Order: sequence, then C-alpha cells, then structure tokens
Amino acid sequence: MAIQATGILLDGCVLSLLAEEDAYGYSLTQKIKNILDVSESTLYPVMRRLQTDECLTVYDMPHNGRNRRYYKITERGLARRDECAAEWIDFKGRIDTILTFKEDEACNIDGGGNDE
Amino acid sequence: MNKAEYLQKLEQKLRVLPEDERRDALNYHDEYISDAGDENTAISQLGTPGEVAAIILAQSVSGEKNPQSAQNPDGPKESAFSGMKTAMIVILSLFALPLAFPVVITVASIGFALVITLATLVFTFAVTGAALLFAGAAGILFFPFLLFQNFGHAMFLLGNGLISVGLGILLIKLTVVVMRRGFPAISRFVSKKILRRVDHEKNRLD
Repeated sequence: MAIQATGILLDGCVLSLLAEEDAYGYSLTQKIKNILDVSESTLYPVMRRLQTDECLTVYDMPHNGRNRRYYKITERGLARRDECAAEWIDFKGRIDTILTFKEDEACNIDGGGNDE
Repeated sequence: MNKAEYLQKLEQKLRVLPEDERRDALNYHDEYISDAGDENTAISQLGTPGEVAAIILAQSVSGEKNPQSAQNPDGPKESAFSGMKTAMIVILSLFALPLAFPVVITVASIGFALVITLATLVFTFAVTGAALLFAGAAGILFFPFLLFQNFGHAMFLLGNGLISVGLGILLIKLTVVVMRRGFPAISRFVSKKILRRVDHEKNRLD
C-alpha cells in the first residue's frame, strides 16, 4: 500500500471505528493496523489530538488489576467523522476524474472504514 | 529492554512536556504494552523511546495535523530515515534552547585556548629565532680570531653561524606569518560558529 492514511483520513478512520464501539489504545491500533499500513506509534498523537478537540472522551475500566483507558466518541466526534468522510468522497471523486481505471472493479478495492 | 526501562527512557525523552501530557503518554504506552501481551514484540513494534517521543513531541509542538514523519520501522527505508530525521530535529531543537548559551561559551573557550596556544607557539618561534640569530652572529663575529689558530675549528664556527642566522631569519619570518594569518583565522572561526548558532536559534524562534 503506497498511499498513507494521514491527518484527516486517519482521524476519520479512528472516529468511524469508535462510532461502532468504544475501544482502548491497543485494540484500536490493531483494528486500524488490520486494514491500513500505519505504525504502532502513530495513533497516540491522533487520539491525543482528537481528545483535545473534544471529538472523544476517555474513561477508565479496571482490567486485571490495572486500569484500561477506553475512548468514546462524542457528538462533535461524530460530526467530524462525517466531515472527514465528505472530504474523502470529494477527494476520491476528484482523483477519479483524472485517474482512469482499465477495469471498473478496480474502483471497489479501496478498504473499508467509511461505509456510511 | 523491558517495559519499565522502556517507559523510563520515554519519560526522560518527554520531560519537556507538561506533567499531565507526559503522564498521559506514559499511561497510554504502559497500557499498550501490557495489552499487547508480549512485551518484547510490543516494544519492538512501537519503535525506540526516542522515535515514539519524537512523534509525540512533534505533535505537541505543532498542535495540529499529525506529521506522518516517523513511520513503521519495518516500512520503506526513506520513511525510517525521515523518522530518524524528525527525531534528530526535535531532539536538537529541544536541546538548542537550554544549550545555546553554553555552546557559545564553549566555542569562545575553544577560541581562547587556540589564541593562547598560537601565542605560545609564536613566542617560542620568536625566542628560538632570536637565539639562533644571536648565536649565529656571535659565531660569524668570532670566527676571524680563530682563523689563524685553528683553521678547521674556525670554518666550523663560520658554517654553524651562517646556518643559525639562516634558521633564525626563517623562524622569525614564520612567526610573522603565523601571527598575521593565525589570529584572524581563529577570530573568523569563532565568530562563524557563534553566528551560526545565533542564526539557528533565530530560525527556530521564527
């Protein structure tokens, strides 16, 4: 995978996953990593920023005698997720008008994550 | 490196951050490594504490879009390189602020030491040159008196005297050259180093 999901795309992916269910750092990283080629260390700053922007909140749950910090999406986060998705669709459309595919099905290979 | 050591190193690298941000980052990575199950794998996948810290600091400094600078170490070579580069830049810029002044002092001290060394050298050359000139002159002056007593000895004295005078003149010339070139070179070196540091500092603050 040559194209990196960065900035707004990564934000959108994280928020979309959190819209499905709350998650803790490791599980969220694994979910993203299953689909996208991101490094383990990229996600913490993203979570931190989204938290500062009040797109998500955190709460702690006891697990094996320690705390596990869960991330929960907020209303603002849901709105941001929609913005990201809209940006992506706009961008995708622009690129599609320039890049032509030999096979139509090639358009359908892009990974999941923004299925709404 | 086990988890405790890893987190300790990370804490060191993050000490410029406010207490709550640092705590948050450490808790996150503490949890992350615990949740991963296998400490060693998790640690090697995360990257070195320096790399992790660089990404966090870059984010904290810019306060906005995450820089896709430090990438997966298993990824393409250039992304690993750019990760290293970012780490270096961040570490350097962190160090620049508290270190700028000491660095200037260090450069100035090196300049001072060079001046002293050169001055000593010049002094040694000058004194040796003068001594050789003096001794040579004496030899040339006294050789006629010996000429009729001991011809061989007198010739030896004359030869010695001429060589000494020649060496003395060379040394004194060398002294002048070293003085003329050396001291300005040192001052150029020192001012260049200091200016560059000040420039660097200015660029960083802009």
